[in-house]
Amino acid sequence: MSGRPLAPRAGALWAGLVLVVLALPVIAVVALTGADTQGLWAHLANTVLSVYVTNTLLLGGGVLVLTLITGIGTAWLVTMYEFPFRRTLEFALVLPLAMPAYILAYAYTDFFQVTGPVQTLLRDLTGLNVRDYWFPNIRSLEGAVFVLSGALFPYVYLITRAAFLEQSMSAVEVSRTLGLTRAQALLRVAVPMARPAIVAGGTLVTMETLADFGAVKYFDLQTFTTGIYRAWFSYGNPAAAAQLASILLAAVFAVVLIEQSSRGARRYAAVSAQYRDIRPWQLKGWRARLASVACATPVGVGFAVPAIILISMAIDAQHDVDLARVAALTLNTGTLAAIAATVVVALAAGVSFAAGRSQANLLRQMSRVSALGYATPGVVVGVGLLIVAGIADSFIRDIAEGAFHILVGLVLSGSVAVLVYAYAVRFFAVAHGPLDAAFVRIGARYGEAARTLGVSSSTAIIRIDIPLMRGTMLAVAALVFADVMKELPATMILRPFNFDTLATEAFQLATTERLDQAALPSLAIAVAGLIPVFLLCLGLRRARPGSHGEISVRTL
Amino acid sequence: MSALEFDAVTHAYGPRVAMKSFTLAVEDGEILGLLGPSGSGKTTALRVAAGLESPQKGKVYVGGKLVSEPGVDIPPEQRDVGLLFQDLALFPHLTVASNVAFGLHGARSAQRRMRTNELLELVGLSDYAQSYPHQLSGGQQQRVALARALAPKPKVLLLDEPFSNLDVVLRQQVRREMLNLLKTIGTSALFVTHDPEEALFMADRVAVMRDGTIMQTATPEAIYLKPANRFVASFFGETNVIPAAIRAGCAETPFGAIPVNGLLDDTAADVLVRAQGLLVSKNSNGAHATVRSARILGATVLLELQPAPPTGLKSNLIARVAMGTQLQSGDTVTITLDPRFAFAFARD
Repeated sequence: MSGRPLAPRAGALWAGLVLVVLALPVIAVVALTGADTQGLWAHLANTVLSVYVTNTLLLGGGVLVLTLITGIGTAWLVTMYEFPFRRTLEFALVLPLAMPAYILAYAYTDFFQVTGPVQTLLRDLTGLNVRDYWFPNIRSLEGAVFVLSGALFPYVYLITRAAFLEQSMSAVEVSRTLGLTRAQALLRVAVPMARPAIVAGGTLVTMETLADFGAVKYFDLQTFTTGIYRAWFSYGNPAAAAQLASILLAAVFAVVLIEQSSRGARRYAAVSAQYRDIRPWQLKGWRARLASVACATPVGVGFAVPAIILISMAIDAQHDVDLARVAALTLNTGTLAAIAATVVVALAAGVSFAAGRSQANLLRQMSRVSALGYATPGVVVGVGLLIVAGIADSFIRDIAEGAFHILVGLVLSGSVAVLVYAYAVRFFAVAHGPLDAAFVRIGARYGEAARTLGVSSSTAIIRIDIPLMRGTMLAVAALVFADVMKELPATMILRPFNFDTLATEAFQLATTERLDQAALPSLAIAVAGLIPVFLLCLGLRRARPGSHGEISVRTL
Repeated sequence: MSALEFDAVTHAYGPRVAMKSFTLAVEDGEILGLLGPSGSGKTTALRVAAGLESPQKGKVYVGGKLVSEPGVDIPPEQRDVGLLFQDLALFPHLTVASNVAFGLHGARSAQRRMRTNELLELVGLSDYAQSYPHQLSGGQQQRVALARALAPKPKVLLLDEPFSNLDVVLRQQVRREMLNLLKTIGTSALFVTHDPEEALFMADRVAVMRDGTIMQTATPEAIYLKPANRFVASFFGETNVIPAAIRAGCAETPFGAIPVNGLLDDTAADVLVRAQGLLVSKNSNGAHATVRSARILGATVLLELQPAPPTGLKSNLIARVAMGTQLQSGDTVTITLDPRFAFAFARD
């Protein structure tokens, strides 16, 4: 039943405006695509464009293959077998989500460089000199594949594990009675049945890979994200940046479409009336040890080893580090993240309330579209907002100087407000998805009961819905908080002059060969990154067939 | 003055018409049962009364005050109606006392507390004031919901299938309790149900609804004994349909004639006989039917009867007779009609 709309017309208009404003940066980028690039586009097309395409494809393909193997393999092991430390590893496999890829890049650069512990040990053991041997260079395409895979495989792991848990194990067991080995059952029954979930995990990984800026920039790889940055800041050519950004956006949205169609299919695939508890198969001897090692290795690569490297670097560099500055930066970043989280949660909840609970509502359709902001790479959001802020500033200046003869300069560009705006664009979906789901799940009946008791619809929201949604609100606020703490590209592009966050500080220190000093801010970011991982583990513990945790992988 | 009045209300969800020129009035202090099969639009009527739906046509009055007509739509919070939901919708984050006090705004806190205590006492839950809804039993939750709806002294109480969530044993008990409470307070109420027995038990008057319109409104006795049409007649339990010939103001059937009103001679007609309206006696000569099965249902025995060829009836008949009737499968019987439970209607 549709019922009466919850919010008055004014509320709906306001919410619609919010959604349009959130979409502006992307609209700006697309709108500028046709603009004149003064020949730069032709130049780029002739020179680096093919490099961008090749590098992006190789990077995306490599990361996809590596994360699928790692993610599916570990998910299968922890759900189907019993081996030493299985329960610990089951949760530890999520930990790499706490470390952004760019931080892994700093840590492994130090680890594998000529003066780093690995090569030093190698020379000590073999007695070779630096020029006597070949050692792979981490700052390469292969290195980026390694680093990004280490950071991103948990997406595949989480979604696939959930799919394996939801599957009726009867199918796997029947296939065993029909003569399949466990490995064959994995490849011929379990994986095909989990295919929609695996596709979803793979597309998430690909989206993140396409959007990555920090790691590839640090490794000096020429991809679309670094190319956009360079077109704007080195060539000073917004039109060319917008054109590159549009190509990247098209690629990302193609991936999103694949993901959404796979989600549609998953609804049918996951239906299973005969759920049975999985009884893990007890592994013994070397097989058990192998399983433990196989699951521990990705945890080591994606979390433990870089954490140890960063900690030891931080200790070594303790006399070079300006602790007061790191403390001030942490406070700075934390405040910014808290403001952004508050703004984003308020906007998301407001839009949800205004849309009401009807699925056919135009606002709800619009808010689904604006969820694409989360898929938009930070570089694109940054560039799009530069364009929007520039237009808004010249508009404000024209009015102020023309009508009132006041010199106002740039009001928006380079302000903290624009930074918060960027975070709202990027992370609106992180808050809106779970909040809207919670709001719809509460249902209309409490609000209707309240209204028959003489309470207006807005009062009903304050007295009923918000208290009932408090847990979800806190959780999504924490998610947005952590996301802002980690955010690098949009912050780099939009931050006010002389304004730094932990992420930009660590990046600048790392790119100026002061890796040891970058360790402490990086560790602070990783600690913030543990917040969503912790929330996810709570959800994971609750995740049983038919009852999904409130925080999904999608929102991480 | 009526507590609640619908005047030719029409409401559609898109192409699906849920209420069609719906007219009904709940008088002051009256409990009116709105009875109908699922999908007949009875819950929509309740939601329209509460202001949770805005109808396309017609007028709605609460306590004599116009609350809805095209262009006028008083929001639910200003309508003075109490609503008891099918699933109760108790606020899970509030205590029992806070739930009951929820609708008491505007009043001073001392008055609110007094009114809350008064109601909790009325429903016998004073000891549970500080409990949370999930800590109570189903019947207790029902009473909290009732107290919450009654606290602001609504002009009319609306109840949506109020007992459907309770198991059979509890349902009987809660039903009795609630009827006593409502009568003690003297509140006007409109309650919606698909259970004929519940409607007959609870209501001062019963309105039978079908496809968005009222078929008949009458006291329980009248609606059971003088149904206005086939639908109403067959809605209260199983009936047998026997073709009849109308002659000289009587409907003649193979089992005898009953007097009819308003049907012309030679109209094509049927007599609908309730199961207890077939009076059955054992008779080996000139039998009307053969007993095919006899099943004890507690106070009554349900007989399935196969009509003998001379009656011209094809399908089996159902009869309810008192316990102690010595009838067995295979016995032959003669049948007469109890005119109180037999009704003649023109064939459609």
